[in-house]
Amino acid sequence: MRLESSVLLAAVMLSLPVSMRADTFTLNVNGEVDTFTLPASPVISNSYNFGFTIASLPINEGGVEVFRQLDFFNAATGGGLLIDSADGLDFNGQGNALYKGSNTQPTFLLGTFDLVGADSGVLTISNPAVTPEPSPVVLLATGLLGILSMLRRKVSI
Amino acid sequence: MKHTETMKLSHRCFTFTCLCVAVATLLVSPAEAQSQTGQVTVVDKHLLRDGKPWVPHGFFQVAFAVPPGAFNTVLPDGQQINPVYQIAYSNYSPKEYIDMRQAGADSVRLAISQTAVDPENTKYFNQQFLKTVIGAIHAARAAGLSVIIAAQDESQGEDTKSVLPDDGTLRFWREFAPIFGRDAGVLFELYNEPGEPQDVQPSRQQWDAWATAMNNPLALVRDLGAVNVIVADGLAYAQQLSGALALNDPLNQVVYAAHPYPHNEAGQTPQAWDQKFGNFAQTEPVIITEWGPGYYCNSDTPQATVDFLAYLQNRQIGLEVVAWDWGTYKFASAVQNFPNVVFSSLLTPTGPNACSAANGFTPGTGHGPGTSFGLGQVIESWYLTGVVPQKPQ
Repeated sequence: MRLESSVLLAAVMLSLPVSMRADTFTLNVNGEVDTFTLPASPVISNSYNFGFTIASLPINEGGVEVFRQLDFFNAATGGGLLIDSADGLDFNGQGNALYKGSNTQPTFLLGTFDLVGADSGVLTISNPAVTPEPSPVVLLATGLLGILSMLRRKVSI
Repeated sequence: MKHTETMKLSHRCFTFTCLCVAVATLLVSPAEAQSQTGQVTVVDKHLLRDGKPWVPHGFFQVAFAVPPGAFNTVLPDGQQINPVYQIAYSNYSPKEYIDMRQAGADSVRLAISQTAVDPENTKYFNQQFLKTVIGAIHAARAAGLSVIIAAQDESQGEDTKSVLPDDGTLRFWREFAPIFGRDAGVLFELYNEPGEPQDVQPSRQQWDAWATAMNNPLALVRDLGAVNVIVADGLAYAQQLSGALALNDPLNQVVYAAHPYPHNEAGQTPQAWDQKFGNFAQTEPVIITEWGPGYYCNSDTPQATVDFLAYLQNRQIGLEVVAWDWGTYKFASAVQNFPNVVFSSLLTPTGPNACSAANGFTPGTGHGPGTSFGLGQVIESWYLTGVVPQKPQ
């Protein structure tokens, strides 16, 4: 069982950099820029068969912080997102899926996405921390080598 | 000994991998499995949904009825295209289908512009439009709705509307049949409102021509492997089904559709409903895929409206009501102020929102369209409770 535990631990550690990652969303609609931050694998408020909701997220709208509900849609339905305030939609654009994984456990994609529909805009999801630095790569490689060596030792007993 | 240990280790690794795969499978969204609900079939001339008798209760969605290239243009008759279509398209969101479900709907009818999805139409074809429509159908299915795709070829997006299905209709179905042809939760309404509106008593020759023209797209979708239920609109812009002939469907999955909008006093009576579609529905499956009282309104209209719903209920005839995303309140509609969906009320003609002179209607004369007359609360109540209100609300 020690072997399984080790592999499981390694898997959890490998997934940590994604789940702990905080992505920055920059939405440019005709020069008006909204920004907000979400964990790469966010805690969602509600999911449905083709998307999910994040309720009451602080968004910087042109320098003013407001709270909005966000809905993201999966690739099959055309992707995109809604930004919803109490008095109507702030943004409604489709055309690109913005996450991978399931609707209950999504992970945002990084990149720049054209969104069209009632509103057209360009959304950039970025996170500089995602670029692999040499030191984490060395650390990861060392860990993997350790597991491999443990496996070899077990086999040769 | 060493070999045995290696075998044990391999076995453990294999077990662990299987465990991981099983967990991952459980974590995957159930969307795929759930999108297969709402499967519709015709058995012994009755509609079934997931194997149970089905009377459709849904909304007519206009977001995709007009090609974006036709927005803000003038029709051949000099009329400006109703801005409602652009409002509906530009404010479309997949979440609408969740709202429809919450309003009691089990289905939605999407009128889809034939010209906008026809790759050979150099004027109106729009790849992004087609992509959005396909996404919308997937979203509606994932929301648990059955979907009726209707090929819409009207003056909103075509300089001259074809009387019967044409080559453009075939190209329309070449786009959708390969994608949705294996999902029986999607119904194919071959061609919206064929015929001429004045031919309310079609001759045998007109029905023959209708059947020949309808059989072309039907044969095409079957050749493409589609198993879907086929919906065939009657003549006279779907006002008339009496006299409609059987179509050549090797799968025997045809239902008929009527759009019995009242255009005069007589058009809002049970006699008219019998003659247009009710008698026909005694022997053939029928769905009302469009209906609303917007073309005509007088003092009898509010009661005639609830009587019409009771008529459908008593005969187990389904309805896709006009309309989900009608942006303004000038035509009778289930919903007003789209995209902020508010179910309209059905008041007496003396009320502020019925047969309103403010919207071009002349009270007492029955002139329309332009009547401000809502039926949303009645529809919502019926869809949610299964009980038709006896009086206007």
